[in-house]
Amino acid sequence: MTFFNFIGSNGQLLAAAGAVFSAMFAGIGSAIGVGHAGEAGAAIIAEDPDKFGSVLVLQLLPGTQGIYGLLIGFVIASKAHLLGGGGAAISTAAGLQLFFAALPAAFGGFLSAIAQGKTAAAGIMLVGKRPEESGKALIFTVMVETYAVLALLFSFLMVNGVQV
Amino acid sequence: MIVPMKRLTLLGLKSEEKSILGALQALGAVEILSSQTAEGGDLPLLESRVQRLQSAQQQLKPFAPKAGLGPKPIYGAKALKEGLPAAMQLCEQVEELDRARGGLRGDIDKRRALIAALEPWRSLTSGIESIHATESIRYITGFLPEEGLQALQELGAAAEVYGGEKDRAVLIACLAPAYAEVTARLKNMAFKEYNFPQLSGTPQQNITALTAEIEALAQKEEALLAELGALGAQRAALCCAQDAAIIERDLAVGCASLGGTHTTFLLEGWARSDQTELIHETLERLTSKYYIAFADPGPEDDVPTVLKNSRLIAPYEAVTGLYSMPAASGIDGTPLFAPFYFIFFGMMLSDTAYGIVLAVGAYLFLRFIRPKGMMESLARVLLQGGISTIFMGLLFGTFAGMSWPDIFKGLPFASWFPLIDSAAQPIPMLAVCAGLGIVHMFFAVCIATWRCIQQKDWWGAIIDNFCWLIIISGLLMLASPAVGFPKAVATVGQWMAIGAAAAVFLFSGRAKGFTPGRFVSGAGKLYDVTAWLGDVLSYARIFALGLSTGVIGLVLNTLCWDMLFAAFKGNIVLTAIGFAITAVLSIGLHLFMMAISTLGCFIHTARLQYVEFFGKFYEVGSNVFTPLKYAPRHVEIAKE
Repeated sequence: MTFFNFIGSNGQLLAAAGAVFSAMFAGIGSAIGVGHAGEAGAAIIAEDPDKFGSVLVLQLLPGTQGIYGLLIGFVIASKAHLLGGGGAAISTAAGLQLFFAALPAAFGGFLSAIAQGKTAAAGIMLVGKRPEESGKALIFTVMVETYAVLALLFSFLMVNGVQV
Repeated sequence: MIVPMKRLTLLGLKSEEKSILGALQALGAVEILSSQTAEGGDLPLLESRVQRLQSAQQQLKPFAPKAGLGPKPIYGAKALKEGLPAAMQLCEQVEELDRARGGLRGDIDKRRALIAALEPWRSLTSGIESIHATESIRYITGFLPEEGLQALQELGAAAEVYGGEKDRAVLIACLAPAYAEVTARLKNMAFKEYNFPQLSGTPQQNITALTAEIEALAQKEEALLAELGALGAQRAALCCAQDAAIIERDLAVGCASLGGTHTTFLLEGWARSDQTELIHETLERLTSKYYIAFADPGPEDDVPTVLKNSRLIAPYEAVTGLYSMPAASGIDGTPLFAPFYFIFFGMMLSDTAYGIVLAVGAYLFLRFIRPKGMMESLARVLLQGGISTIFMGLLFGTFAGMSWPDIFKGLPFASWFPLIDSAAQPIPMLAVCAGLGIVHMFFAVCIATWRCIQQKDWWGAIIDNFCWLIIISGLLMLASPAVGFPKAVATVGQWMAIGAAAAVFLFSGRAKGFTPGRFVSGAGKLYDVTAWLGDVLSYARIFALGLSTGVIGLVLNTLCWDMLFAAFKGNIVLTAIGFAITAVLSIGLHLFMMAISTLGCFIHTARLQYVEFFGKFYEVGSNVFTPLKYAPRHVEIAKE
């Protein structure tokens, strides 16, 4: 059996790839985003430790994409009987559908988390200079999240619609 | 609503300036228009007093008893002021201790640096004082790189090598006549000369003595720290004094920015029209020698804005404030968007359990912490949002991630909830969101139309606003047969849209006369239909956030209960332990996700107001009413 035959005849493998993509890419994006924001946050806290609360909230925001990715990964895994060991096999078509359904959460999450991390870092700088405007920094940062939420929504609807 | 403002002119005696302004500060009802930059006089002194108290209370912060959660202490303005002299003494004490500590730290650092410099010479056995030039012998001390040591042999002088890592400490002795030549050769060997400080005894003896001195100094520092620590309990007094100093400084800034002569002062400023009586009464109680006049603002005045709303609506002013206050000539959007905010927030969070936690949490926060200002408003918005979420959770959502049919299992009405299962029926849910969005935006356009009518801008009302209601309604009717409406509705809708679009095309550029530019701007205006489409789709975020809350909750439950708890199979003890761990974990995770979701819902709901709603009619103001008032940081001032 060639490699492609193997993949082609194994729906669960494709679904697993989708689940892993979703959790992995969104997770990487969030790690980078939270990292960016954390660096900026440390710089501000060095000057004024009292701003920790508002800086922490901003740093946290790019972390949600990782959660969304994990979530889609989890839903796919449970749909494709990958959890708990030993479920009925699923068709190749269903596996491929689940794989594609994972892509919005994976890549939407990956890139939006990085972008959100940058915005959060800028927002943290804003808080450093003008703490009274922290609400606005929050708004800018959450705006980026819109696209992660839309990606999550679409991934979820797709996954939900797949007939296993 | 926007409170109408009055331009205030107050004339009074210079001798009563401070008492009058003090009373107005307590009232907090007058914004002063500075007629000159506030500077000079006592101001630098008063400002530095605020700063000194600030840094003194910060010094004591690590030693003060931890402030628990709770409301700010309440003081009378008078009591606060009376505590100021004693607190200044305390402040001086803290500053004195801090200075002494700074001195000690400097001394310790100096000694540490000296030890570091002497360290390479530790094995030198002769006294430092004995290394000096004699009649026939010259000494050279310094550092030579490791690789240059070989060349020392050929120097023609006696050399001894001591410690040091990369650069080695070297003592060289040569005859006086050879000194110039030796130093020249040393220079070529990258030798760095080092002169001992004025010390006596061997380096080892010095290092021992210095270490002992450092220890003694550190002990002194400890003692100072203990003294500071003992003062820690009195930090609250410094905080109160700082607030008293802030109040005095603000008053002085107010006084300094007034115009006037040697014997009179002139205050020009703004006051709320509903507080003019109050200002009158306050002045009357103080003196009879004054003149006051309230005038309506003129067209060239930059009038400050202040909002007034009912108790239920007022918290949403914080949401308006986050965007921008309206212009005084504009309209306050707060009461107009508040009902939509209430509904949208609930639909986005849409989890009854989260709603209960949020509402109860916000209520307890308000009840026991008694926040003020922005925090209070936000807590009230969240309290209302929580109540909305409880109901919306029943209609569209879940209970802590569990679906309603599961919770009500076996009950006759189990299948009623949720009314729309958004995960299984995304299209109806999207339609509900878009429908609400259209209602929301139509309402905004109606407000804009009404504003145009008020200003007698008839063209603006019909072409720029009302026609869009017709176009969008027509397009909706055109699409309506898809959901079972008769075809005739579509035909009517089609002609409505075409007619209104033609009007927009012909009259949008009416200011340009009958030129080609008129029709270019008309066509450009028609392109706005895409903006409408984008705006309607924007309301899909309600669905997206609602669904994400539900799905995250569902996954949390599966992870915790179906997987983690299921792993604790076996005897009853194991099951009990598993239950406890899983329960704590799932509550913690749910709370965390609730906090993140609440933040997202709060901001996305606000965004729908800012962009989709305000975008249609809102006029932004730049001037917020900032009256002279008590602005304490640490305490709350009791009303007298």
